[in-house]
Amino acid sequence: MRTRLTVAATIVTTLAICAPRAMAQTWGFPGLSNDAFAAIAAGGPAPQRDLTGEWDPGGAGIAGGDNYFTGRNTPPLTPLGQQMVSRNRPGHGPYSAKVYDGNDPLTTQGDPSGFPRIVNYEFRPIRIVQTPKAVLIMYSFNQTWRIIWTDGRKLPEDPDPRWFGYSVGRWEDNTTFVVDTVGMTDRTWIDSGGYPHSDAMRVQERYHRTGMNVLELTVTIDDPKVYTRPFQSRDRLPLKRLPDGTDFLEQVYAASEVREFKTDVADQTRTP
Amino acid sequence: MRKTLMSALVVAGILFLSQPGVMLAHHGAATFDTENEITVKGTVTEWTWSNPHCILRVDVKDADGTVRNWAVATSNVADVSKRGWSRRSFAAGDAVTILIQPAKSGAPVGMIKNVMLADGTKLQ
Repeated sequence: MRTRLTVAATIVTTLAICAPRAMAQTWGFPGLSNDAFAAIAAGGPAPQRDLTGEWDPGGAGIAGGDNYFTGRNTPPLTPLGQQMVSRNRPGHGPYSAKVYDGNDPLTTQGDPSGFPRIVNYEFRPIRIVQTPKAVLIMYSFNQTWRIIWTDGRKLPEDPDPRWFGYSVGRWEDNTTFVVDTVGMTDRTWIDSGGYPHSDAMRVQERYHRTGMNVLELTVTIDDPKVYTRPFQSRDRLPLKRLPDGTDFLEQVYAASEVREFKTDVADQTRTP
Repeated sequence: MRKTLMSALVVAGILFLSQPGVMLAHHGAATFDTENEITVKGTVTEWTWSNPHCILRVDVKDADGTVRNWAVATSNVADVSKRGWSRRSFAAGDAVTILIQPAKSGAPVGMIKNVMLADGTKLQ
């Protein structure tokens, strides 16, 4: 009897150890379902100064729905901001346009999301890699990456604008990593709602690891040219840890595919 | 017997039409007729696994016998993958029954709520 119990316990233990590896060795993981996301608990204390691994922001990361915009408390736009937003015809939020009239640079032209849109919309599973001089964030959405320099360099003072800007990071304490980013081109929107930004925008991300399996992201946008006060586009958004080595589904918004939907479906909805 | 069969068909129809559908992932949902969904039957001509929307093209015969090629879209590849769709969900020649939110323009385009395959498999 004792032998049988021992064998059974060994099998259960082996399965428990091997299960995450088996999951991780599959290909093309599309992201957690809502139920699977909710089922992942904190999983014990957070390791110190370690964000390494695969993380899933779940359904709230994808955003784009009305809940995201109503919950965000976006401040009033400045006169320049109002002028800029009047040119944008998004698919979501209070400025939504008809589908045939949309001019979202990402979903109608295949432009890059840029930063901070990459964390405000279609924020899908990411992989974080820490090196001695930088933290790399690799986004499954559009197969995009960012380099967060941690080698002590200062942010550039008059940078040429880039889609994803210039980022430096530091550990505020053993579980909180803070990233400051400047120099984003004003060709991008900050979300799918057509909210604009200027080249003076500064963005701060706070990655707070609250447990072994949970990382919370807060994003603060400060752009006095466009918004009357700083605001948070993400407020402690939880990311859940995936098994080590998870391979992500490729989700690229290729310009040719974006164009096909626009011409063959969206444009056909125009009423005479 | 006939009455029982009719009742079963009515119940099946109600269940089919009341299934939760595909969320409109992008772009001005008001462009599509969410109040008057329609069901079309046809033959797949092409299935495009793409972003921001996968597109299913289907030949559908109208009441007067005219065949029109519909282009109906679902969500992006990640979202539909989570719900069991794949690049191989459809092949040209497959018979399908599709619940659609059609465009208000009257053009043969729309957003897919769900698709029933000939073997009874339903994707939504």
